[in-house]
Amino acid sequence: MKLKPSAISGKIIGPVPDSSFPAPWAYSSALIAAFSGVAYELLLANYATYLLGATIFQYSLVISLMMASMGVGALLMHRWRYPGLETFLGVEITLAVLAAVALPILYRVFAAGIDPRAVIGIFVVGMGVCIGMEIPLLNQMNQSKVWLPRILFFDYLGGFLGGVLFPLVLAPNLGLFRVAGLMSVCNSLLAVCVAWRFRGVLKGAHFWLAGTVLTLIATGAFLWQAETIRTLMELHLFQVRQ
Amino acid sequence: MSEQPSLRFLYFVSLVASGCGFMTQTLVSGFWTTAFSQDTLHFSLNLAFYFLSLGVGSLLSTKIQKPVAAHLLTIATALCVWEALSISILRVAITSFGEIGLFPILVVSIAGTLTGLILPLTLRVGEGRKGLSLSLLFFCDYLAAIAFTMVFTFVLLIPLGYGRTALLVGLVGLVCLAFFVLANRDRWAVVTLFAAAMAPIPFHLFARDVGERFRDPKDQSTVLFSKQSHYQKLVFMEEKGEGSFFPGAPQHVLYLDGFVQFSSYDEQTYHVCIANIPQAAAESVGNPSKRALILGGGDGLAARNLLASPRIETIDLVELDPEMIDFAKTHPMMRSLNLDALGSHRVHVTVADAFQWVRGQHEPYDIVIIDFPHAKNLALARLFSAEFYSHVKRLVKPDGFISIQAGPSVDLSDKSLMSVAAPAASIRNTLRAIGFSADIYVSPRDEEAFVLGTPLPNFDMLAFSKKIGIVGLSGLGLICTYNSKWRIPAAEITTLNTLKISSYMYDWYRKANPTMFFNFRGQKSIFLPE
Repeated sequence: MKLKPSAISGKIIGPVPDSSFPAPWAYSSALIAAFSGVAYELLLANYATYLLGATIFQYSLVISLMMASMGVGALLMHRWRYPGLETFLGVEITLAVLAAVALPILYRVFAAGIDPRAVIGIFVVGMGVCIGMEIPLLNQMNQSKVWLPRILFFDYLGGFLGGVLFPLVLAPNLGLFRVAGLMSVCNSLLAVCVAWRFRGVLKGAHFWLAGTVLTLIATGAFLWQAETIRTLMELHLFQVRQ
Repeated sequence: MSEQPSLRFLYFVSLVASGCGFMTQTLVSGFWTTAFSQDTLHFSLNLAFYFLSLGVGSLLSTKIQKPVAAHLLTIATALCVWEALSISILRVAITSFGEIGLFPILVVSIAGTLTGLILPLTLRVGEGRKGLSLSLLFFCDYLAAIAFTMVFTFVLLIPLGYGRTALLVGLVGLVCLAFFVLANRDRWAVVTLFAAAMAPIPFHLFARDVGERFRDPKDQSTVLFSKQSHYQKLVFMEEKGEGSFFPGAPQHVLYLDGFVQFSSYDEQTYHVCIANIPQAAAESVGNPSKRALILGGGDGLAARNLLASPRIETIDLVELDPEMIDFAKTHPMMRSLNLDALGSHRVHVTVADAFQWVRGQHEPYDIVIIDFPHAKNLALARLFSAEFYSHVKRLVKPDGFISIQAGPSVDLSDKSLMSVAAPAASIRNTLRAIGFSADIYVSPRDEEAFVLGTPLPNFDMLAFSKKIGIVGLSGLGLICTYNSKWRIPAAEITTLNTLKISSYMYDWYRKANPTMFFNFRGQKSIFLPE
């Protein structure tokens, strides 16, 4: 028996606004979302390791908190009756901004000698909730068109790429600052593309277009000047002369 | 199994399955990492292949035909059994082939494929039912992953170890599944489940025999002490010595996570270098050298060397692992090696993470000794960063001295053996970048490099070495050596942003033994976690 796509997608929550993605958009969104999600998770876990020590305790506390927040994000989507493109754009912009400000703020906290746990916790929860919302959102926007298993496949593929590339290629060669910048540019670029492609069906299209483009410019500037920012912070906070 | 199982059952299967899948990943990663004592590489490979196989499983789910609910139960059962077997399979692979190879990836990929099948299948079984949502299923998945990992790291790892935890978790999963099926009054399914639950037990008992050390049968060494702490595995062995003066005389070796921490045969030279050289340097510039700080070095051997000087008034020793302190304080062999240094009234022991500890300290010291293991993983590499040293710098008096264990001494790619290894060069450059004077010296016998640093702007290492007589070309016959003619490679400084030292360390290990992170060949001792 050949299964029809709709047999698996599962009727989930109420009516859906007519803004569904074509399949390639959904696949690439899932891929980018998962890639940057894993990169953020590893980025924060690395930073927490530096600050708190990679004692198994603290490391697994951070990872678990992140996963719990992802669960909360998914649960939020369960409660949210009419999520749509706007929610997706909002999530991407929030993630991009959080990713760009996380490291400079953590660096300050690090140098100041205050207990960093609360600050790390805020970023872990904030980013975790956003990441957890992404896949259920994508799924809900594509109930009739896209096969859930394929979305999941691209989600996991993104996780695979992030899991290999981040620790072995990106972090040692680019450094955490530029990786954070790169991922945040990915998120905002995705948001810009989605906003442009669906400007016809978006509520308040001008607002969203302007917002996403501004985010892209800001995160792009952060990526461009990431090394300068880092060197300046290191010089001022730790007296490191490169 | 009826085609309309209760919603609770569906959520439950999803919970058990994703828990078991994630658990396999955690356990296998932990086991693999511990066997090679290198975290980043193995963890990320395992995690990545787990993700990839989840995706493959999710794609494969479209091929599964009716009756879906029955298949779902079969897959969940298979996953639990596979989880229970995971560590045993690795052990059997090691005993049969003598190698672990890429078995961990195989085991994790199979578990991932099975787990990846579950989520889409659950949705298919529950299609059109009120109350079943992808979001809630995701929530269950995340919840299970957290719960299993937390229970493992906080409760099960120390008392049970990897093998027994794997078995226990798998069996608990199967029993839970059986209860739910029983509620559905499906006797055959229950019988099958219990039969499945029995299968891993004999396999586990058969596989347990690998022992904690995978070794040559002709090897005559004995384990004197072995303990898994929260941070590392400590193994203290009595081995037949290979020293040229007294061949066959017993020597005592401490392994931390399978890497030699010290051997009683040559630990003196190492500790003279790390403890007595900065002391001599401090005295040479007129520093009273009364207060000393030791970061790491819970074995008490560096403290022993410092205590030999009556000038030392206090030594603060900061060690991460309480088990290490306990061992150094109580084991009779250890106490005779460190002359009961940790029991001395001049030594004050603090159990803390060095990074956390230095951030909160303000009182400066005359001598600071940093004696951590090689920077082979992130947890250690961060303790060689500019950020860490800039906190340490506040704790060094203006005429104080700091000595750092800086990894292997010789760059193996230079045949003349006149080049210093890159990790030591990176540490020297890092210290210079934050305003220390810093130079590399080595202990030729065990081929370890050290960095001597001081806030004094014009400290002349060559003059000091000539004064105490440690200048030498090859270092033959000397305990510590400094030579101004060594070639020091251009190495980037280590900051938390890139942690260059761990890349340099990794490259050095790869040059020494290209396959060392994937097979046991050429390694004397491999310790497998229980």
